[in-house]
Parts: sequence; structure tokens; C-alpha cells
Amino acid sequence: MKKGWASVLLCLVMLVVVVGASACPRREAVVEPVAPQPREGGVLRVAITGNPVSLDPALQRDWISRQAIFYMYDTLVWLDEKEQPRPGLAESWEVAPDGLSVTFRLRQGVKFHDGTPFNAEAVKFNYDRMLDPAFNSRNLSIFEPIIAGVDVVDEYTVRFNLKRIDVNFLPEVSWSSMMVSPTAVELHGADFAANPVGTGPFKFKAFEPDSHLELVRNEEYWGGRPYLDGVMVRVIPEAATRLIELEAGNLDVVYTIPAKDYARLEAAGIPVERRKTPSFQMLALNLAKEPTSELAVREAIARAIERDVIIQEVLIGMAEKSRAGVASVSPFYHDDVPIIEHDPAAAERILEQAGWVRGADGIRSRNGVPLEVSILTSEHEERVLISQIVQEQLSRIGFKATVVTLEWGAYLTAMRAGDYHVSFWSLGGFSHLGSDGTANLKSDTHWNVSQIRHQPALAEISKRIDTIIDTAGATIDDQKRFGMLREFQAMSQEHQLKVWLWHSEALNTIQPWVHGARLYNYSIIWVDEAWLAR
Amino acid sequence: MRSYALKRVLLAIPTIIGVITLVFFALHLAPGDPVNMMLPPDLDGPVREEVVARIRAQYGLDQPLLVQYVNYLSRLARLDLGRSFRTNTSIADDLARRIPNTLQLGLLSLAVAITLGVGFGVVSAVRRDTPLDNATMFGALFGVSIPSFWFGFMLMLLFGLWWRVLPPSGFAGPITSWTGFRHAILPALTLGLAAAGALARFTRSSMLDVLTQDYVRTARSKGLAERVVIVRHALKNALIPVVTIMGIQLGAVLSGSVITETVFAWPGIGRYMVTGINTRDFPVIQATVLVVAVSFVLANLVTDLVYAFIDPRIRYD
Repeated sequence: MKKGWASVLLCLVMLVVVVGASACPRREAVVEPVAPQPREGGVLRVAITGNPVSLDPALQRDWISRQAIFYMYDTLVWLDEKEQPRPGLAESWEVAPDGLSVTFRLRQGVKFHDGTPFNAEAVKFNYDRMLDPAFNSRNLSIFEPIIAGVDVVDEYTVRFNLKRIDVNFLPEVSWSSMMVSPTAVELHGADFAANPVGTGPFKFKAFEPDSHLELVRNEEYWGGRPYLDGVMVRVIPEAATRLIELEAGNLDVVYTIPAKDYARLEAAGIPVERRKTPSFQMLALNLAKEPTSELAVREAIARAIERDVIIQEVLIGMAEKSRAGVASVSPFYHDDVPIIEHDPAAAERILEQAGWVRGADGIRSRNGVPLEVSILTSEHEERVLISQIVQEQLSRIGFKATVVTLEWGAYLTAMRAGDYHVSFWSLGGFSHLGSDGTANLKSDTHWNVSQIRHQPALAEISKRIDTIIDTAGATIDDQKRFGMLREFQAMSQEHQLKVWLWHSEALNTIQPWVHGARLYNYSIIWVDEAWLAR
Repeated sequence: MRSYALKRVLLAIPTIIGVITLVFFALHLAPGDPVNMMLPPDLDGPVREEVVARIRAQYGLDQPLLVQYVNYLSRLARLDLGRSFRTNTSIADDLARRIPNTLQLGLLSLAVAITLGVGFGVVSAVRRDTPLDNATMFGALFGVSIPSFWFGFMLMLLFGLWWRVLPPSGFAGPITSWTGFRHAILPALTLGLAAAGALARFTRSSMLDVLTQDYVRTARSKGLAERVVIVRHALKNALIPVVTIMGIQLGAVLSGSVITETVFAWPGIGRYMVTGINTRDFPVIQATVLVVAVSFVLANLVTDLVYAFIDPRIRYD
């Protein structure tokens, strides 16, 4: 009997240890006092969510890679808080009166990390490399339709000849003109990515793929010697691990905080920066497939979705309800374009009038055909949740809705093939000026997510949308261009081409002891003037 | 013995070819186009199909499936694993970087598993039905049942955040250095404790079986010390089923743990495979599956050879 009690006791002790581990109170985060003067030294520890695709800027185009490698490079221009282009490696630039060429005057005396000079030849080398089909740069598909060629005018002047007027050329250059050393490329060839050389404030030291990237100070940085000894970029794919490291004080900057953890971090004294990014989330509707090819059905779907609930429940309020595809801070925003609100009664009325009547099982049908839609989603946790809420909200007004969950690659293929009725779609641009909310509606876009090109009944509308997008893209006058997109937004609402959902915020953390770090519209931290007070 | 080993190695070749053939066709027939993964979804503007076609041609994806398969096999025969679609890096180099990381973690966790699993299993069997036995078996059940990601986070919270005695995650070089070793402790415990649970239960039941055998009684009646009876006579005989389990663990250890490596941000084979799968990086998936297949074949071979060592009655003819 005694033995029996003893073993029960032992088991209980083990249980308490384990449960205690899950319930033990968190240690309070210590906020260091703010130092008045910039301090030299220390390594900034940054966490990103995935392995960078490449350390060669020409071979990547995604946010995560940029968050890893940006500190090694400079761009010709960069966009400031108001999205105006500012001098980077180019001191000034001039757009030709016909808009078909842009001439950059380059900063003199800039050196790559390998000591070779940065000049017009280097710019031409970089762009020729990106435009070479054999090299397969991720920027090729962007620049090929725009850039005809790059000319060296003199040692510090370079001219880009364009195939067409493109108002997004400068914003695009601000994103994808991280300059690499031609000498290093020639030296290392295909292995340049393992030995990256740029002009940026930090130099490459070591890279352990899937683990960390170590950078050290560029003593001769043209923008001034950085305060930090270096930057350590850690790849931590699991959100919970990033939070534990953050709370343990082992990280200074963490990109991409899940909305649900916002309150917890704020309570722990770790500030989270909420940033309205030029992104939009929407329900893509298949315009070429029954029944979403029918206007009444699309209108009913738009009115059945209770966006306020999803924003509160899933995004913990960290999003702005979308009016027509552009956020209210965007210059393309027009408050006179109608916003379509949650109105289930109107949705039911529209369906009744279109002949879709409820059967005994609550599901609507017309001429024996049930009102059935498939909601396609990728496996991402948040998207699955949103799709389930949409399914529930559509069921309430008599839809028979099924959620089809596919792995990301299969999902993209299904989207391209039009194998869906409704799907959550999210895009993030890198500037409000470059994100006009046309949202893949152009008929020849690779990622057209409306299948509009396969719907003859909407051919006229599609043609008009293409014209608006093309004309706007070539209209240099900002005000005129902003106005042109109003027609597009109104058409999108009138024909219910998609259901606009919201504009979500990006949440990033910079610990209070990091000073002088700037976070611009790219959600990329600039650390050339950063210093640590820890 | 040597000819047996050779035969086993040769027999493994059709197994491996079978696995890579299955994986090759399963991958290419499954939905999901690798070219789509190379084009960012936020790509706006006219990407003419020719760009897509060019990428397809560049990676040989425009060829008939059988031709792709034959090309793949012939490259493999030349030990050319190709380059990653996504990162354009040499897969052989990528593997050479990651396999040692996985191995270090795996072997450390195997050491944890064997020490704790066999140790507690023997103690449990010898002290059968005592509180110690009950507690050990409760612990073993716990180790087997709890999901490794949860257990990993609990260790991280305890040792990394609240007590701050160990780094919560990350990799800091080989475990031969003190910093590198400290970083490996929590993931090795996560992997090792789960395996130790299974090992302890197997060891215990196998030992209980052996302890009732006549030769154990004979050994005791000869007046041998209890320690000698347990270790020399009982344990060695009890180890056969345990070694089988260890063999499976060894295979798993060599091919990396997807979950533990992800949770602890450990740059091993498991992480490499997951990224490959998520991005439809065919050459990476094929190469990592090859590694997994070879690991299990190797582990099985080692297991079989160990059988002969611990039980001389087993002969290979």
C-alpha cells in the first residue's frame, strides 16, 4: 500500500513539473535606460522567417531574402516615408521629356567591399546581368518589358532607355537596384551568392544556410562609418520560437509578428510597430465558372461576408476594412466609390430575385441545380480559418460551400487553371504609389485571379480595364493617374469583379534599446545609423 | 560475415532505385508546377508565357517525363545531384553542409535515448512493481505520447526563457565546441527523450522476459554477483528487440527530424527537405529522399550486423 502511494506521489510530482512548465509566470522584460549619445559597438540580432533564396540580389525578389541581405547593398534610389524617390547610389536623376529614358548621375568615390570602384560601368553590368535570359534573374520578368538597354554616358552618368513609359520605373528601381561588384561576379561566377560583395554599410562574413548570416561593419561606408560592429541575421521559421528568443532578450529586431501575439508582447514591454503597408486582401471570384459567373451570385457573396467579424477575430483588429482595393492612406483612394457592407437580407433578396430559392435543406437551387461553390485555400493557418468563416457566412444565406485546402504549389496551379469559385488572395506591394489596386485584373497578367479573359460576356469590361491600367501606367501626371483608377474601382464594384476584404498591417518589433534604426514602407529595417544601448 | 554485408549492400541498390523512381514520378504527377514557385505571386504586369517557357526549358521541365527520368538517373549515376530550382546552389554542397549538422544532433539525441531508455528500462525491470518502476514507466509513456513540438517549446520556455541557462534555439557550430554543444542540448533532449520512452518500455518488457529464463537462475545459483547477472547474462540477451527499435531510431536520426529542426531553427536535412517540398524544388526533394532512403538502408544493415555481435547464435550464411 505504501509503495502504491509513493508511486502516485511520484507521478503527481512529474505532472506538476510539466504543468508548471506551461503555467509559470513570465519574467518581466527589462527596459534598459536610454543612452543620450550614440554608442559604438555591438551586433544587431535580427530574426527573419525563412532562409533567403539567395544572397545575390539579382536572384531573389521576395521580402524575406531582402530582410536578410539588404544591409550589404545599396540601391540607386530609395523611397522615403512619403514614397518620394531619394538619392542612394544615384545623386540625382532626370526623366526625358518623352518619358522614354531616365538618366542617373552617380555618387562619386563609392567603393564596393572588395575595393573596386562603383561607377556607370558597374550599373550597366548589373542591369545587363539581370536582363540576360541565361542568368535567369528573378527581376528579368519585371524589367524585360520595360528596359530596352542601359548606356554608359560617362564614368558617373548612366542612362536607362525604356521600351515604354512606366510610372513605376523609379519605385521598381528602388526595390531591385541593389548593386553587386562586377569584379566579384567575374571572380566567383556562379558562386557569387556564396561570396556576396556590395557597397552597403555591412560586409559579408559568413552564412550558414537555414541558420544565420553574419555581417560585419564596412569601415569605409560612403554614408559614414556604422556604429554597429555587425549584424547577425537569424533564420527562425517558427513564430513561437521567435517570440521566446525575443522575450529572452536574444533578438533586437523581429520581422513578422502574428497579430495574436501583439497584446502579449506589449504587456511584456516589447513595443510592436504596426505599419499600414500597401497590401490588400480580397476574395477572388471566378468570373468564368458557374455560378460565380453570375452577377447576382457575386453580389450576394459580397453582402454575405461580415468583414468586421473576421478582422476582429482573426486579425485582432490589425487591418483596415477595404473600400475598393486601396487603403485610405493611398493616393488612389476615392471615398465616393461605394463600399459594399455586410447585408445578409439584401444578399438573400438578390438571390431570390435571380431565381435561387431555398430548398427544405436550406440550400438554394435553381431549376434543380444547387447553389454550390468551392472555396479554394492554401494550407496557411490564417487562410484556412478565413476560408472556414467565409464558408459559414455563405451557408447562412443558402450556399452549399465546400472548402478545398491545397498545399501552396498545388494551390497556385489550381488558381492559374481557374479551378475554384472563391479564394482568399493577398498581395503586398512595396509602395502605395505603385499599388493602384488593380490587383491582377489585367487580362494578360500571369496571376490573373479573376479568369476574366475566359469570360466572353465581360470582354468589353475587360478591355476597358486593360486600357485604364495601361494608360494609367504611362501617365506621368500623378493627379491624373489617381483619377483614372477611380473608374476602375467603380467598375470593379458595379460588376462585383471581386470582394474587397481589408488592408492588413505589418507587425514588426524593434527592441527599445535599438536607436537610430528606421523602418520604411518596405518593412525592411535600415541600420546604417543604428546603435545599441543594451 | 563480410560476404553477408556485401550482399546486403548490393540488395539495397534496387531498394534505393525503387524509392527514387517512386518519388520522381509521384512528384511530377502531383499537382503544383515548380515554375509557378519561381514567379512571385505579387508579380503584376504582363509576364508573357515565353518567360515561363524559357524557365521550363532551362530546367528541362519541357521534356517528356520519361526523358526527364532517364536524364535524372544518368546524372545520379555520375553522382550529380543537380542544382536547387529555388536557390540555384549545388545540392551536393547543400547536403554536405547540412548532413553533419543533422548527424551531430541525431547522434547526441541517440546517446540520450540509449542511456536513458536502456538504463531506466533495466532498472524498471529489476525493480519491477516498485514506485521507481511505476514512475519510470509513467515517464516513458509521457515521453512516447507527447508531441515533440510541444515538448520542445516547454524545454525552451523552462531552460531558455525562465531560467535562462541554455540558448532557446539556434545553431552555433559543431557540438565539439562548448557553445555549439550548449545549443544542441535542448533539441537533443527533445528528440532523445521521446525515443528514450519507447526504448525504456521495450527494454523493460524484454528484460522481464529474460529474467525469468533458466540460464539467469543458473547464473544466480552459481553465485554470480547480481550486477554481473543483469549486465552480462540478462541484458545482452534482452537487447535483440531493443536493437531493432534503435535501428529504426538510427534511420530517423540520420535523415533528420523535420519538426525538431524547425522548432529549434537547426539547419539540418529535415529543414532542407521541408523547404524543398514547400517550394516544389524537385531536385532538392529527390536528393533529400535519397538521403532518407540510404539512411534507413544503412541503419538496417547496422542493426543486422549488431544482432550477430550481441547474439552469436545468429549466423549469416
